[in-house]
Parts: sequence; structure tokens; C-alpha cells
Amino acid sequence: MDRYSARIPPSASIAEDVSYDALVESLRVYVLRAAFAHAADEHGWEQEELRRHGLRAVELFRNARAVWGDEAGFEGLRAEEARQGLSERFERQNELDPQLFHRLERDLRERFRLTGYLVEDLGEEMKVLFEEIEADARDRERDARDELLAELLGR
Amino acid sequence: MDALADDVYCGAFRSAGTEWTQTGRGPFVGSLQSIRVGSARVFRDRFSTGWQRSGRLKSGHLLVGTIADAATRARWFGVQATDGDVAVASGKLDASAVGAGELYSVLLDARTVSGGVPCVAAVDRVHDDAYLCRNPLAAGRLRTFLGTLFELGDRVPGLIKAPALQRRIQGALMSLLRGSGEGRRIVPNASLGGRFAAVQSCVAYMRAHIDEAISLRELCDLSGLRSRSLINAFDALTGVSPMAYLKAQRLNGVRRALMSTSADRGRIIDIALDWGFGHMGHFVADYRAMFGERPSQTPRAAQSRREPGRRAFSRDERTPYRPHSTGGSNDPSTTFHYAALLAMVEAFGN
Repeated sequence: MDRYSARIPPSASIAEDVSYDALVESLRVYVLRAAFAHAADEHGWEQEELRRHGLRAVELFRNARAVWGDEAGFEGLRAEEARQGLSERFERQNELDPQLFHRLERDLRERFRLTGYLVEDLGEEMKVLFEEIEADARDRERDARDELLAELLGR
Repeated sequence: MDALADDVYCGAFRSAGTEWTQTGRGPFVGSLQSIRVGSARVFRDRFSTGWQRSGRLKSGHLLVGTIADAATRARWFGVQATDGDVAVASGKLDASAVGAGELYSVLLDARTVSGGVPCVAAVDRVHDDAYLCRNPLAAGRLRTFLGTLFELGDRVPGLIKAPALQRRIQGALMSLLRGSGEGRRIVPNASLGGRFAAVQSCVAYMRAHIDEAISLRELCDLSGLRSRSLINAFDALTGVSPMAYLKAQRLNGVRRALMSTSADRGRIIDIALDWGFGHMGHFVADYRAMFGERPSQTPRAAQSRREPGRRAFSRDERTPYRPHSTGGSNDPSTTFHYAALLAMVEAFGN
């Protein structure tokens, strides 16, 4: 069974050596935490990268091999490594699978849809999703404040 | 104008003891021209994208500069420079630019200037002496003088080297520099002083841990600033955020390493790993976005510039400026240029 890792450089680790299902869930949790952090203006660099660039910001590894989405870049570096007799090492550490990104984007989007967030694409950016989560967070915050105020005033 | 690739361009600064980092995206094309005027050197520096430069001038040396046009966005120790400012520094040097632009500067050894240079004789003891002098008239005169010097130097090589003219140019230049010290001084203030130190400490930490996972929180703890303040401080001093600066440092490091290896032995993956890139797909994309070429192209391009008989520079097709054909000493236009230069020197010398 394939094992996945997801990171946003230089320091965010979203998932390490987990199943595909756990990878999608870890991404969902990370997106939610990032959106809440953004709402409070306490977000980190990596969270902002995710908001701005969507899944493109995430480095994916499958079975400890870096997964590439860009075929031209992959073939270019593979050819360069082959020229230097380093093909074996390159193949051991890298693989090309643009479909993984599409699948991951589709599955992540579906999980958000099930929780009430309908967005068109999470591959290139997540600004719309962040905005919706942030708006909900603000509403809840306001409701909580009103509730607390009512409680303190004894009504 | 000869356009310099980034390795040649930044090599000029590194050889002078200053660190140079490309911070803007896109292929870098620059030119650095200099003319010796007595003991001073005047520079015209053109560039196609953003950079950050820091270091220390030689003891006793002074750098006086101005931006060449209002479109150039440059910062002097974090302070935004306008086309009405004259920038002065001795000791530490910290400058950055965002996007394409052009700068003029004069480097001089203060000890060799008879009578001193009043514009820097009483500089404030902040940041080892650095400030901006807001004096649009003086900045405009200095800019016009240096611009004309380079223009005529381009048209008639050798013209400026004539000893009699050299003395007059030097006299006019010193007169201009004296005048440039008059006006409102903008000294990087106490608040910027703290931010400057914070950024410097973060940059030193980044260099020491360049291949490790560095977080913004670590940098905040190190500098004692909140994340928003640190981001603003980096933006002010380098034109980019702390983590974008870290990425730029790493990409520049890889590029320098690739340029210094032979095309056949440029082990891209090893070099990228050494500089903290763990995912080659993302590294290749970032490298291409930053420098406009694939990492595999870099060693070959650098090698072709090193090959004997090859010019290190290539013509810059993107720069609208074009040198004029050069006339010999008997060319009537030389006489005209000489007269024009003399007239200019006389005008500025008074």
C-alpha cells in the first residue's frame, strides 16, 4: 500500500508516511487551521502559500519519492541526470504523476463539499475557500460574543 | 551598452566584498559601467529585476549615489529613496531595489580628497554613517552631471581620460558632492535601527542554517519581533518577506554553485539538496520562475561565458539604450563632444 507525505517548505509538515485517505484528511485539517489562523492574522508563511497557490504549494512524496506534476521539468532533469550516469538515483527518488494532483484536488474538494463548502478548484489557489471559512468563523465569534454578553447581563 | 549576466554582474560586487542576491523574479540582465575620475570612481548601474546588496565599504571610503529616474524603486538602509535624494554611506552598506531600474554612484577615498567632502564630513553616527539627503536640486544636478559623463564616455571612449579634463571633471564632481550635503537629512531612525539589527540577525541565522527547515516563528523568536513587524522589516530592507528572502538566498546559492561547476559535472540534485531543497519538482519550478532558465542550462551558459575567445557579455536587446558609433580623435564629433563636456564641467563647477 502506498504511503504519502505532504510538506510546504521550508518548515510545514502536513502529513508524514500516511495512507492516501489520511493524507486527504490531514490536508483538510491543515487547510481549516490555516484559514482560522488567517482570520486572526496569525498565519504562518506556509499557510499563506497554501492560500495563494493552493495544492501547487504542497510538496508530495509517495513511498519517499518526490511526485512531480510538471512533465517537461521532470523529463528535463531526468535527461540531465541520465547524461551524468545518475538515472538510477533519479528514478529512486522521483516519479511523474500529474494525475495524483488532480485526484487529490478532487477528493479534497469533495470533503469540503460534504461539510458545506462548495468551491470550484483548490489546485491553483484557495482564496475563495479561505474567505468562506473565515466568514463562518467571524459569524460564530460574533454569536459567541452575543451569547456571552447575554449571559453576563443575566438575560 | 554591454549587458551582463548575473554571474558577471554580481561577481563585480562580490569581489568588492559585498553580498549580492537577486530577489526579483525573471532572468537578470544588468550593466555596471564605471569611469575613473581622479581618485574617485563613478558608476552607472542598470538592472532588470530586484536585488539586495549588503556589506561594508573599505575604511575611509564613501559612497554617494542617486537614482537615475523616478521609476527606479530603491531603498537605502530600508528608507525609500526618491529622485530628489542623495544617498551617502561610509562603513556599512545596505541597499535594495524592486524591479528594473538605474542608479548612479560615486565611490571615493575621503583621505585623498583635498579639503574634505563636506557632505560627508559630519554624517550622523548611525549605521556607521548612512543617510539620505533630500535635496531635489542637488540630486538633479548630480544625476545630470553623471548621466552626461556616461553619455559622452559612451560616444567617445578616451575623451574623459584627457588629464586636463580629468582635473576639471574632478573639481566639478567634488563641488557637486559638497552641494549635495545641503538639505533635509533622513537618517534611518531609531525604530529602523532596531529593525535593521533584527533583519541582520535573521539573515545571519539563515546563512548558518541554510539547508535546514527554518520557520517564521524561529525568526521571530530570534529577532524579538512579532511576525507582522518582522515581515514589514524585511520588506523595508530587502523588498521581500523573510521566507521569500530565504528562498531567494537558497536559489541564489544553488545558482552560484551551478555556475562554478563544469557543465558535465553539475550535479544539480546534490547541489539543490545542499541548499535545502527536498523536492526536485518544486525546486526546478522555483528556479525557473526566479532565473528564467532551467538549472541544467545554468552551467552551460556560465561555461560558454568563461570560454577563451568568447565575450563574457552579450548585447542586451531589452534595453532601449544603444551606444553611438565611436569616433576617432580626428572625428569632428569628438571636438564637439569635448566642447560639450567642457561646457558641462564648467557649468557644474561653478
